Parts: sequence; structure tokens; C-alpha cells
Amino acid sequence: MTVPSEEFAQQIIVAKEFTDAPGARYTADGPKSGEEFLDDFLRPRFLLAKEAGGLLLVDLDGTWGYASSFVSGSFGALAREFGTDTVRKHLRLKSHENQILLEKIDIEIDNEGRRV
Amino acid sequence: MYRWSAWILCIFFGCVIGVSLTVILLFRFSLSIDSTLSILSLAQLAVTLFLAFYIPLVLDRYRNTRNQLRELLIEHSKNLLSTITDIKETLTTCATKRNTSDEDKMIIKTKFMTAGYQLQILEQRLKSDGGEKCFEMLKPLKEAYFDYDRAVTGGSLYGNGNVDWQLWRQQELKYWQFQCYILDMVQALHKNHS
Repeated sequence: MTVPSEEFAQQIIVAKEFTDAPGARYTADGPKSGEEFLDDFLRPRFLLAKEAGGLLLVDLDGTWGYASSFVSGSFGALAREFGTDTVRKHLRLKSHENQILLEKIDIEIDNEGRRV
Repeated sequence: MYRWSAWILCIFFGCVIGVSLTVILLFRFSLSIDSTLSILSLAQLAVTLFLAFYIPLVLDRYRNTRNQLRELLIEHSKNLLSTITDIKETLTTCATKRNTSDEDKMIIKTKFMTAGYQLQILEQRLKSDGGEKCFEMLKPLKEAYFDYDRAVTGGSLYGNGNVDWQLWRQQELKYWQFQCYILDMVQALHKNHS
């Protein structure tokens, strides 16, 4: 899922555009939740990238870590909505700091996408 | 295969040197058979003495390097377990207090980040120095790590902040599973490198 050299139609730098302290799963759980990230950033830009037939790059570096509930509420929910294959086709993740985080999100996308 | 080739080459060169020395001493310097045999015995003694000191030194150095690598890998595994244990203890404190502050949540999240880095380093080290068997053991260990992460940060802890009996029990179970995998790996490292 990580190919930093490709051309990207859309890009999200989480720490810069959203927050450096991602929160929980739902908006009701508190600020900067996965749901908020999905609604305001991830889904709209993913759709733009998909329509352009291009890729969305999500830069995950520079934050204080991602709770599993945040990952599930954003990336997992995106996979539930569009399916694993579509998400894999149009989404690229970048983290130079934490490779394990990339694996964690990959597993989430795989697991949640299968439920579609 | 390489070891056998090295043995054969050593024997071959030993014979070549022995025969050449004999021929040179006998024909080039026209020495008697007795003198030639004495010189050859001396040369043989010198080579035997050299090997008697050199081989144990090489073996000792090789064993030390393997021991250091093993200790390093075990140290990395223990560091990872220690970070996960810190998370478990923080969570137990939260369960005892029956609430979780934002500070607690932040501590747990950053500890998971640290554990992620440690797991990454362990993976790199095992890939280069751990041996195939130990590297294969990393896959279930990683799965246990992700399970533990999901059990702690995937539920109500990061929702309403509530650490109920269900969450605490689930994370406790996942923690012991993770610990089992780490200890299995440490044991395998001991076996592989001994």
C-alpha cells in the first residue's frame, strides 16, 4: 500500500491538516475522532481521487499515535463502504516513522472490507 | 558443502607445500634425507603449534559474536514485553480507579507507539541475525500484538473512557497470549544460538 514515488491525485497530511493527536472512533466519543476524519477528509478526497482515476496519499507521520478505534472508525469504515479492492486501488499510506502502523491499517482494511 | 571444499583445499595445499619443501631441500640445497626429515618435522611442529593457538581463538571469537547477537535480540524482546507490561499496568490502574483520564489515554497511545518501534527493530534484527525459525515466530507474535492493541485501544477505553470488567479481562487474556509468544521467541533464540 505504500508507494511514495507514484503520482497522487489527492493527499492528506494528517498531522498538518487534521490533528497531531487523533482521538477515538465516533464523533460522540470526543474531538478528532475517526468518524470526523472520515467525513471531513478521508471520504471526500478518496472520492475525488477515485473519480479522477488516481490515488489518494495519506501521510500518517508526525502524530502521537493512532488508537485502533480511530483506525477502525476511519480506514475500516472506508473499506466497509467501498470494499477492500477499491480502497487498495486508490489509497496509498505513508509512514516513515512507523511501519507497524501501516500493517495495522492494512489488516483493518482487509478485515473490514471483507464484510462488504 | 563449503566446509568440505575448504577441508579438501587445505589438505591439497598442505600436500603441495610438503612435497615442494622436500624437493627443494633435497635437490635445490642437496641436503641429506635425515636433515630434510628433521626440517620437515620442525615445520610440521610449527604449523601444529600455530593451529593449536589459532583455531581456539577463532572459535572463541565466533562464539562470542553469536552470544552477543543472542543477548541483543533477547534484550529487544524483553524491552518490547516491558513496554506492553507498562500498558497493562496503566490499564489495571484505570480499571481500579474505574475511570480513564485523557492523560492515561495519551500514555497508553504513546506506549503503543513505542512498542510499535520496538517491534519494528526486533523484526529488522531477526531478519538479519535471528535465523529462519525465529523469524517465522515473528508472525504470530505480531498478530498477538495487534490483537492486544485492538483489545486495549479498539473498545470503550477510547470511547467513553470506561474500563469495565469485560475490557479488562479481554486485554488481560491478550496480554498473557502476547507474553507467551515473546517467551517462546526468547527460548528459541537461546536454542538457536547456543
